[in-house]
Amino acid sequence: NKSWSIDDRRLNFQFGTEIGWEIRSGKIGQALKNPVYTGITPEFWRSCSGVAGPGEWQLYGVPNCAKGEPVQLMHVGHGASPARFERVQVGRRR
Amino acid sequence: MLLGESRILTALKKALKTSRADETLIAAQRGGRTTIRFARKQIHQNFHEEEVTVWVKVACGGRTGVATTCSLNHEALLRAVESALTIARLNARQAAPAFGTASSKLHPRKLIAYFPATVRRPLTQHVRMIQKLWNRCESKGADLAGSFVVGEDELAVAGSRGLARYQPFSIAGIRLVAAGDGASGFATRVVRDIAGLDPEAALERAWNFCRMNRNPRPIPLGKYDVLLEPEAVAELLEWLSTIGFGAKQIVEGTSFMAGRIGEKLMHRLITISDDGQNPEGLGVPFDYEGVPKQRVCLIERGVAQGVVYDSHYARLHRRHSTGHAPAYDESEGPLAGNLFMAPGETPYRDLLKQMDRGLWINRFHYVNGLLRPQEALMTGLTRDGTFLVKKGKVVQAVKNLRFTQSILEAFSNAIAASKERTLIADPGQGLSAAVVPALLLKDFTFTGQTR
Repeated sequence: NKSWSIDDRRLNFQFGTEIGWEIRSGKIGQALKNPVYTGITPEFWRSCSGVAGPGEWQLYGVPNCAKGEPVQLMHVGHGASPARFERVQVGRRR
Repeated sequence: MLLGESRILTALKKALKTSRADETLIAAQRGGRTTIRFARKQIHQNFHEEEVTVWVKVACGGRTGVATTCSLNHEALLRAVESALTIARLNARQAAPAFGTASSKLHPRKLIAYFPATVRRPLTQHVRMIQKLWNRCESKGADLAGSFVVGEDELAVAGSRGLARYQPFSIAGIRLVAAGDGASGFATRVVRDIAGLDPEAALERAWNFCRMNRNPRPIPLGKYDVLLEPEAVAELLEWLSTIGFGAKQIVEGTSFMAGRIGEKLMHRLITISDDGQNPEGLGVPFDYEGVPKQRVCLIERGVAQGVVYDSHYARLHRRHSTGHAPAYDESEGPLAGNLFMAPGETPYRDLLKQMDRGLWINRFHYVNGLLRPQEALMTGLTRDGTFLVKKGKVVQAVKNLRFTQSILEAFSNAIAASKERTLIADPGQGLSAAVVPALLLKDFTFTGQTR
C-alpha cells in the first residue's frame, strides 16, 4: 500500500496501492496503475473466500505505526499469506 | 525549566572544538511537556515528558555524515561527533554536498515566543480548569473528553564558522470532544501565551457542534458544495505542504508544482505563504542550519510562485536557502511548516447563509495525501460535526463521509473565504502551525460513508 485511511471506528477504509493486475478467468491480465480499494471492515473480511497456505506466508515490517495524543510510535509487523476477497470496490465512484 | 541559551550553546561549542571535520554543524532541541488526558469526569493520564535530541552533521572532503544523540552531556556529544565523522568517511563523495550553514552575520528577527507564565502555572490550576470544563459540559447534557498540553521547547544551532543561534518557545493547547446521545463535537485551541487560551470558548464550540450533530442520517454520495471550518482547511493545507511545497518534491517530480511555477493552479481567492517569523503563527525564527526563515510566497492568487529550500536543494537550483532545513536525519527534504492562507472578504457568519445546498464540515479525520501527489489527490473522512445545509440553514446532521478529491481542483472551485482566520496546530510539537480562514468550495466529491 502507498496510502491508507480509516475512520475513527475502524469501519470505512480506503487503501491505495502502487500496482495491481486484473485477473480474468483465472489468468493475470493488464497491469493497473495506482489502484485504490475501499470498503467497510466487517463486510470486507466477511468477503474473504480464500487464504493461501503456510508456504506463502511472509512477515512484513512497517517502519512505524503512530497512535494517540501525544503521538506515540512503534515499529510493527504483520505476517500474512495472500488472500482473496470478493465484490470489493476498486476505484472511486465519480 | 529552561536549560537556557548559555548552557546549551556552551555544550555545543565545546563539542564543535573537538571535531576534525572541514565543517561541523550541531543542532539541539530540548522539549518539556505536561499532558493531561481526561474523559468521563476523570483524569486518566497525567505525565510530564522531557526530551533532548542533538543532531551532528559533518563535512569532510565532499563527504557528509550525520549522527544523533539524546543527551547534551559532553561525552555523548563527543561520541556523536565521532560517529558522524566515521559515517562521512564511509559515504560517497557528493557532487553537491548536503551541507549548509548560515552566515553568522545574518540574524533572524527577535521573536517573543516564550511566555514564562505559560509554563509556571501550577498543575493544580490546570486540573481545576479541566474540572470546570467537564462540569459545565455535564450541565449541558454531554460528556467531555480531551487533552491539555503545556510545555516549552528550546532550539539551538551552532556551527564551526562561529554560528550560534538560540530560541525558547512556550506552548499550551487544549483539544476537546463533547459527546452525548451518539453525537460528538470537537474544538481545539493552541497558543504560546496561556493567557490567550480561552478554554471556555473551546468548550462552547465543541458543545455546539455536538448539540447539532444528534441523529445523523446517511445521504447520497456525490459532489456537494462544502463549508470547511479552519481545522479542516488546515489539514488539507498541511498535506499540500508535505507533498508539494518543498524543493525535494520538485526535483523528484512528485510535486503538483513541478514544472508549473507561474501557472494558475487554484482560484484567485487562494494565496498561501510560509512565514516562520510571523508572530501571528507559532513563529520559529531560524531552521536547523541556523538560516533565518524567509517569507516564501507559495501560491499567489492561485498562481504557483515557488517552494521552500534548504542549503542542499538551494545549491542544486542555484538559489539561496529560504531557511527551511529540517533536522539532519529527516529524509523528506525542506518543508513549509509555518503556513498562512490569506483571509477572504466574507464575514464568517455569512458563509453558511450563502450555501443553497451543501455540507458544513467541522474537521477531517485520517486524511491521506499520497494517492496521486501530482494532482494533490487526497482521501479522508469527516468527523465530529457534518451537517447538510439547504438555503443557508442546517437541516440535519449527516453520518461521516469519505471524500476522494484533488485539492488542486477543490481550491480551484473556491467560492469564498472568511475574513477571520484561526491558528491550528498540534501542541505536542509546537514548532509548526497553519493560520487559515474557513473556506466555501464548490463540488467536493464524497465517495464513501461510514456506518
